[in-house]
Amino acid sequence: MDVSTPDHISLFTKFKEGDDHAFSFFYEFYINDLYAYGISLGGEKEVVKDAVQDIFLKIYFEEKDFSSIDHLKYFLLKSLKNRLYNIYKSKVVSTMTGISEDVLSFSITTTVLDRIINEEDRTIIQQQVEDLLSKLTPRQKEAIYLRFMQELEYEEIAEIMDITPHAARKLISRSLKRLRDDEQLLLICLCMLIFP
Amino acid sequence: MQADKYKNYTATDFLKDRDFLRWQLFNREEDTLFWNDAVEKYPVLKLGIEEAVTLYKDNIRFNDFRMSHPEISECLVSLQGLIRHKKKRRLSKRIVMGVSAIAASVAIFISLPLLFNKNDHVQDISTFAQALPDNNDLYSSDTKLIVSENNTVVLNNKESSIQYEKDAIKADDNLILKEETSPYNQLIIPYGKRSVITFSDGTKVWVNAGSRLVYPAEFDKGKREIYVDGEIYIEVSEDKKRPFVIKTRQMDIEVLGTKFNVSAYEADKVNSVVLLSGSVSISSNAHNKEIILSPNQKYSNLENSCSVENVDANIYILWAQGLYQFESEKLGNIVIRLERYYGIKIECDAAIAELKCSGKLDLKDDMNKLLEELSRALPIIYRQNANGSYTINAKS
Repeated sequence: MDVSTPDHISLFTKFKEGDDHAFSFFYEFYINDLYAYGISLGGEKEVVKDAVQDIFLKIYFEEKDFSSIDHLKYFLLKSLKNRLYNIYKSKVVSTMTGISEDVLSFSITTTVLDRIINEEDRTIIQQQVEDLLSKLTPRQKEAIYLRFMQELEYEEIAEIMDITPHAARKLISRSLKRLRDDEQLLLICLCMLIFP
Repeated sequence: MQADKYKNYTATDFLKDRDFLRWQLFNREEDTLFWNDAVEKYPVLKLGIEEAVTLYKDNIRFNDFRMSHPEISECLVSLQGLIRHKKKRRLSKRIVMGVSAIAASVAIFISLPLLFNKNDHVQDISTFAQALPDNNDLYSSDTKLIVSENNTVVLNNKESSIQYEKDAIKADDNLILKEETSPYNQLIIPYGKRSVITFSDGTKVWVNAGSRLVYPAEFDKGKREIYVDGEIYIEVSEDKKRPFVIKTRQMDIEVLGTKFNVSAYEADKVNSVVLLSGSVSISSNAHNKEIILSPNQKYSNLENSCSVENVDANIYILWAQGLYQFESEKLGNIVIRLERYYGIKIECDAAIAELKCSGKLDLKDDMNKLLEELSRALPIIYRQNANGSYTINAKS
């Protein structure tokens, strides 16, 4: 989404100065991105909603020294992830014996909207995309999602995923390679079947 | 990957192709090269591929989880509540800390405000409000904030927001210094608009379409008074020393700190008060004694009689969030509300005005959609007239 129009920039300045109207604007502007990210991380609807409220409440009363609108966006995403991590971590501790590292596990759900395309084709397309993505680990899925679907920079992905920008690049290039290698492997198997 | 297998592909076939999908998903250089080559070799592919790219962009979504508009507004309202609550807690902490330090000086200065009370000549608010000329501002296209005889601020947002601060008034993007205002300010919300106004004491009022509000630029030391012709939902900030009084033509409502809805359009025969929390007392010519309401009670005042019934108060304030819920309500009343809210005239046969229905409408939808929904529930048909108004008839 284009967020660099003069309107957005003047609202962003007001937001940083603590203006209520601008605050509500950015709240409504990002709430669905955050909601979707929280659900994708495996959070339950109500928990995600509460977590989003928590982080906005915190920001409202704090110094808002964001360098840009994009900075605000990945700060929000990162804060939401941390918040959810803490919520679910404490739940794991209270219900089970040990802490498992993977409290949050990212998944990608594909939706093919029902315009023009008929249902049968929609199912096939969705299946194909999901097959492609199913080869990835949750972490790879998250990186891919942030890079290609949320269009974040490597530095921002690194920030959110708590790794170095270099590691973020590597994580994504390795995911892409994995998708490709699997295809090649399949091709080789097919060739061997056809021309033994 | 072989390009010639695509020769007879349609756009949908491309969308089912893994190589095509991977290209769209990750936009890798090598895939882009492959597809560019393919088009160069077989120009007939160009159209299909372009169409498939558009289809992909328009129709494929990832993690498409979203909340509806009403859900988001609900979240925003609840967040604003959390913020107010936290602010109040912070403020009270600060006050307790400051009290001991200024206690000594209070004794000396306390009588001064009385000496300088310059409001003696100011008219009573009801007299002032009812003496105002009855103009056609309610049919105008803009919200008006009249701060003094020669200063009217025009607000053209559908939902304006006004904030009274210590020295100034913020109205959307305008800033007005309080020094420039008359003793009483007036806010006129025409049909089709709404407004949220926050007074300097923290009291917040949602003002519905077709309403007029009169209030002092600064509340007195001893009382807080506003005058309403129309509908408001109000969250009164608690101040035990200064009761808050809402005056309307037919009744006065006195509160300490609470949340409630007042519907008192002078054009309506029935006026009502619905209480969410706290308590209010209502005085009116219709009854000698004051009536005290408890939460989830609705007081109605019809000409010279009144009644109190138990209701779910939450449904009466949904309009402040852009929703309208009703239970076995007459179509005639629903139409009146929609007319006000949208500022669009709707003609409705007397015969079908008595039909009753229940449900919830999202007031962010356009009128066509709302009437469509109503006509699905009731045996009615509607049509839009050339001048923009609507007519509803019984289905023959």
